[in-house]
Amino acid sequence: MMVDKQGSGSPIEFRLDPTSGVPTYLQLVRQVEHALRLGYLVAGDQLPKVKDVVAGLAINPNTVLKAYRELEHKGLAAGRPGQGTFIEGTLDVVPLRDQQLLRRGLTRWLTAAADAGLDEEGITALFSSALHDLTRAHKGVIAS
Amino acid sequence: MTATTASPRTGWQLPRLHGLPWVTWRQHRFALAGAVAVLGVFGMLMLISGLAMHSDYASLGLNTCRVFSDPTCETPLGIFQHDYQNWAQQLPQFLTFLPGLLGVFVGAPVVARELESGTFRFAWTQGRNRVQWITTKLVLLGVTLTVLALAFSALFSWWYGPFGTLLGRMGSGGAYEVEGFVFAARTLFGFMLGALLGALIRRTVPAMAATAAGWLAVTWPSVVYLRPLIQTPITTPDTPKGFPRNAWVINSWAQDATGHHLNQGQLFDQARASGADSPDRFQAWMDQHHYTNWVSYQPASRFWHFQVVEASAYVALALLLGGATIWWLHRRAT
Amino acid sequence: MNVIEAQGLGKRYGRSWALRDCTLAVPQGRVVALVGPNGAGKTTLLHLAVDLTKQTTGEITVLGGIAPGSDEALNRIGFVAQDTPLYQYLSVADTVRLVENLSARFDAANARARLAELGIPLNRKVGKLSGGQHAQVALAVALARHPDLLILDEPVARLDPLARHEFMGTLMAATVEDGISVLLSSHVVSELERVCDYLVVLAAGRVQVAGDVDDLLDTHRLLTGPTEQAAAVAAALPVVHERRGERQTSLLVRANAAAPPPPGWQTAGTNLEELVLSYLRAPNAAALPGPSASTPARRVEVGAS
Repeated sequence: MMVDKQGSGSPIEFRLDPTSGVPTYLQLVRQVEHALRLGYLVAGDQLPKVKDVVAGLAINPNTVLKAYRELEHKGLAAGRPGQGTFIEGTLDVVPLRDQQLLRRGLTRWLTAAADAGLDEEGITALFSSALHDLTRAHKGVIAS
Repeated sequence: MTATTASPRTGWQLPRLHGLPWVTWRQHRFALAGAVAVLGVFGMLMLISGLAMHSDYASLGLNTCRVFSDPTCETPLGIFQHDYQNWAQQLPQFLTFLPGLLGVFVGAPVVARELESGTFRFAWTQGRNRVQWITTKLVLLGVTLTVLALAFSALFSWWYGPFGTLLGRMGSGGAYEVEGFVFAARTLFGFMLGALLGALIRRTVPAMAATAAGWLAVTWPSVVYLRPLIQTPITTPDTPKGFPRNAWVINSWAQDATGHHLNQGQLFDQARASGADSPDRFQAWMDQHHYTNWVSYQPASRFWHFQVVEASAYVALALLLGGATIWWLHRRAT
Repeated sequence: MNVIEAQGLGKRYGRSWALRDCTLAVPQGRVVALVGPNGAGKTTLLHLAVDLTKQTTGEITVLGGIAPGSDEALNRIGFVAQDTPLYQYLSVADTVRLVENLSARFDAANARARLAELGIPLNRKVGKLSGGQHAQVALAVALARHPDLLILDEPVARLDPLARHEFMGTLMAATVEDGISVLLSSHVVSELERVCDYLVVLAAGRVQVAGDVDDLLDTHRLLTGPTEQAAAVAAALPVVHERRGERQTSLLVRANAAAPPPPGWQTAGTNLEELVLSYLRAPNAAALPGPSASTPARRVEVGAS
């Protein structure tokens, strides 16, 4: 069994899904957020070095820099000159009770959608579109 | 240039070379080794047989003979000639072609191999331009081959020594082609010709064939037709002491009292027509018609003059070809 | 500074023009993709930049106005030709020594370290290496020269997917370390999007597209809508390429992301491969925005690596 030598001492390793249609830098951002959510990353951890990410994924360094900048923007990470990029803040954790409520509401909506005749892909398309509009509106509010 | 840190030893090493000289050595060391091997094989041959030949010459007492037609010298001379004369005549005939061979195998691949394999795209983009590259190679390889060839010529001169007086050194296809400067000059010419044809033809094997053909096309006429023209031959009647034994006879004919020339063929036809078909009657017939035999020849004393003139022509040609190669690479190669 | 500048550059071989009226300015600090179909003139353009050939018409300068083939250009530009030519009969170690003896500046330790890391034995003959190893050796010696600009001509065309990935990974890591500009040509576009941030499309010997990848993707949209309206919509917008079906038509247009689509039409973003293919299918279209002012010319690290 070949263990990939790319393990450079950082808690997480990035991977890419080139077919997902999601921009690369965004995939990296989301993987960091995902890791934070699940507890693989905590404040003080160092994110993988740009050079190592780039060597392992064969992507442009600017993409990684863009991702790390986005994380800084979101207040999740901060760069320390001469050392690297480190996790600073945390994600807003949604309380477990709220999550359960949301889950139940979601199940109800899904059942209604299925009854109306939407299949899995129709549901996904509708959901993605609505989420997309919501995100854009949200950003628009912040920008203004 | 950055200092070379300790690198793994790859093969035997000469005094430290750097830069383009190192590159030249590394890329052509087998070709040069081949040249040394070929010259070395014949060199060994000459060394071994030469030692025997020289020792026999001395032990037969021939080095004390002043005139070879002396009765005391005739017998030992006969023995000596019987043992060695064939060698002395045939070896130089064979060695004459070595310069062409060296040119073909060392010169043709220099540029042709790079163009054919596409490695020129690597060689010419690492910091040295192609003019520097080709100039260094032409100079270093050309000088090396010339020096090797000169050494070889010197060794041959030593080997041929005794026969210089016996057979002469001026004749076409003989020792002249291997002694002195002409051998080395032809090597340089062959090398430069190979390099240029390699650059033009861009394929190694066709370039080698063209180099062989080109070298022969220049050398053959110069050996056969042009050499006698370097200096006007001396004309003299064909008498026993009339001209030196080891001279290079260019032409022989018969002349009558008025100076009218007849060549040997015409002479015999006429004599036969007159019924003079035995040697005695032939001689009487000649005297009757006042025919005398004449020769034109080049004396052995002109050896170095001829060598210098001919070698200079080859060297000039070589330099021209070398310049053409450099110019071609600079302006047009790709 | 522009690493490559060409003005009306043309190269003719016999009767046909490999490159024609090529005008181009490639900014520094980027990873530039030079794409186009085979025979489009990519190799010719790259060879002109490294003085392996001379142009028939026009001018080309490198590294901010230096002549290709000058000593400075030769020492500051690294070049890996198509099929990564090396001397087959040399060992890897001798190849390193060869480049060391030809280059003004060469970090032999760097080259050997990189090769050791990749597990490439120094005493093996180059001819006995695998395709991937061969390419890595060519890359290692090119990078060890610490060039300001590294030009690669279809470096991964013949490599298997793993070798390709490792090659590009090595190359990208080197750009982080050295801040070098990279120009690489390819006729396979799909893998370039992750790697390149500037795009040049060469078709039929001419530059058709030249600009930042982000910029280009931001300024092109894919509109899909009913075919009966297609002609009207196409007349009003700068269309690059049209795909017309019986009922549905998709148009690749030059428009900003913010612009709303015509009523009844959907808008979506596009990707690099679709963009390039659309332009290649529409030889008369061109997009030459050049480098954008917003993209930094030099990569600035968020904290050092």
